Amino acid sequence: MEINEDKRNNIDIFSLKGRLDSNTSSNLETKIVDAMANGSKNIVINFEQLDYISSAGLRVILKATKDLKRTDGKIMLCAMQDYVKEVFEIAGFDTFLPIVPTMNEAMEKI
Amino acid sequence: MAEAFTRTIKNQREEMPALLEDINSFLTPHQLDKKILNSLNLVLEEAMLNIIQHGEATAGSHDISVTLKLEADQVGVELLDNGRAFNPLALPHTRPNAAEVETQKAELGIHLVRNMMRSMAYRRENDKNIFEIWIKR
Repeated sequence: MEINEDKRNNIDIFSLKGRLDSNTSSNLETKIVDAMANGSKNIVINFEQLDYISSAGLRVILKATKDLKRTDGKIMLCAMQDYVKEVFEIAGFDTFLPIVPTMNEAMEKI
Repeated sequence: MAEAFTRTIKNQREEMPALLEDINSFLTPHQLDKKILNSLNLVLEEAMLNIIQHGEATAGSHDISVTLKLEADQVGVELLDNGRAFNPLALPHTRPNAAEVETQKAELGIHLVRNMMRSMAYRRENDKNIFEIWIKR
């Protein structure tokens, strides 16, 4: 999995490409933990080029959401492909995680 | 006759990426729908991690044999391991809540498998666990 990092208006943006699974999820977890350690409070995760997610990936997103909440931070998840969104829905995560269709919306709502 | 892929690995997470890569290479010429491919990857990853985690929690090293069967209207995954008896079908049927996902790792995986598959079965035979999952093609 490739993770591209960008920072705009004090928002950390992580764009994921490839597979977020048991083999790669710790890479994203490390990036988010590092960003938070450097004072980041607002994180957008762009799923546009992510093809695949498994429970290990869902768990990292859940952990990031909880950790950010604890520090009064915010997370937005955006631009998911249908299949990736379906996995969030089956897990029931779409009921409590902020998922929006586009990057623009994520940047506006955070 | 249905085409098949078979491979045996140790019950170690490190073996998973190469196995999944080989399975995807095997599947490429069959031009499965992307959704089916993703479901198959998910079912394989979650079911194998369950077996590996159970192995880690009980007794040392054992083997897992993975067989993939391609039929006209469905794809089958058979996971055979010589670890202690472990029936993934006996895991709770309820969807785990957020707190449970963080603490009880096995449940979210099997929940995803249950929602992706057409049918699944478990049997214990000759001191081996045999877990079979079918996905609609």
